[in-house]
Amino acid sequence: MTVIGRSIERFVVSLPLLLFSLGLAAQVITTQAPGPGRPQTVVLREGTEVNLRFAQKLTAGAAVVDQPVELILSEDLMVDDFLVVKHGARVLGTVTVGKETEKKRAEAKGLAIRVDFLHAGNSRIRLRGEKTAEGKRNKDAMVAGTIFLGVSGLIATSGKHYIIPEGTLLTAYVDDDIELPVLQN
Amino acid sequence: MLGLTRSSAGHNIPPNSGQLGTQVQVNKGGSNMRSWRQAQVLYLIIHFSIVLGVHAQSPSGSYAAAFRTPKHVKLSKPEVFHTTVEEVVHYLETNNVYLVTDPLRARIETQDPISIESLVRITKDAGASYLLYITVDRPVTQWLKVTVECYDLDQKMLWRESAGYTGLTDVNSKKALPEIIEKLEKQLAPRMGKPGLMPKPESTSTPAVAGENPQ
Repeated sequence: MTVIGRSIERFVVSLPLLLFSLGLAAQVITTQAPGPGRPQTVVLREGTEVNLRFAQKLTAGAAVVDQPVELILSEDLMVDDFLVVKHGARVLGTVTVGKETEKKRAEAKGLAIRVDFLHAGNSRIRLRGEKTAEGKRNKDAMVAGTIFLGVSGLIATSGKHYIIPEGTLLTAYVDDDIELPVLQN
Repeated sequence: MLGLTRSSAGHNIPPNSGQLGTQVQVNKGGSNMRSWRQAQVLYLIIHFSIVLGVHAQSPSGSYAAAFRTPKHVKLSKPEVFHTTVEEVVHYLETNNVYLVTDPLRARIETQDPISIESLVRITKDAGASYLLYITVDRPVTQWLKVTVECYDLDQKMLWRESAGYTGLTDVNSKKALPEIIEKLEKQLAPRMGKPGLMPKPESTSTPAVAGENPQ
């Protein structure tokens, strides 16, 4: 075999190895420590505003006190232009005003939740925040009730319904200082 | 050696008096290349073994969440809903289905609907690959109806199985659950070991999904 032939063969044999090494190198680069001027961790200060969104619908007819509520982070959480939590991260809250037990058929006379924590990687960022549902009357039902049943129909249908639709926005605040790793933008 | 030279690779090479030096050099180069190639092959084998191992350990578990329909809320009891979900989960666990535990909360058993988008996000967050969405219904013509839907992380429904119990002559729904579980067992059996109902990895400890207090 000529020298050129051996070189080609050697190149062909080592190509997968080369490609794998390049892939590994790229991975190493992406997980390397941030460069100069870019800290590895930053402190998320108490009182920082956090924008959230409800990931589920809540109604006074179903929500039970102490039931967990699913929310998500609606915007990236930044500290001095450094990204610490990406939007879409999971946030958990708890129903504070709702039905006392699941067995009760009647709707609760109010609906409220409090925000507990934001789950980011291995960290739980404690948050504080509340949301109270505004009661709305079903006007169509009230009109129909009054037409068919008079005053008693009006009274029966004039109750308020408390609903928090999925996607409702909510602002919460960081409850304690916490050190978090800086993420890649 | 009776006129034969043995190379390091074990091949017999006839002596060539005129070009012996050149021949030895070529043989040396060839054996080096062969050993180098062997090392590369070994390296690649090790690499692919690691890659395959990583894929074998990648999450393929399912996250179970349950929804109680408004009709069931209106016409049945919450205990029936929770017991039904418990029975379905118990059936899956006894069949070694890998159910992932949510580290943040107990299993979702809700009356307020949660969108598939949100549930898939929770599934991803819990480290599972599939969402098993159990719906417990109480249609007008049936005592109980259970639907199990499987979604992947792209929110695509992979399969759906449903079982109901009519029981026209029954005065209550006592027979409904055993009948439905039996029907579901028959329907889910062919899906065992396939997406959504993957077996538990051997190193995984028993998940606490069924044991926790659902909310």
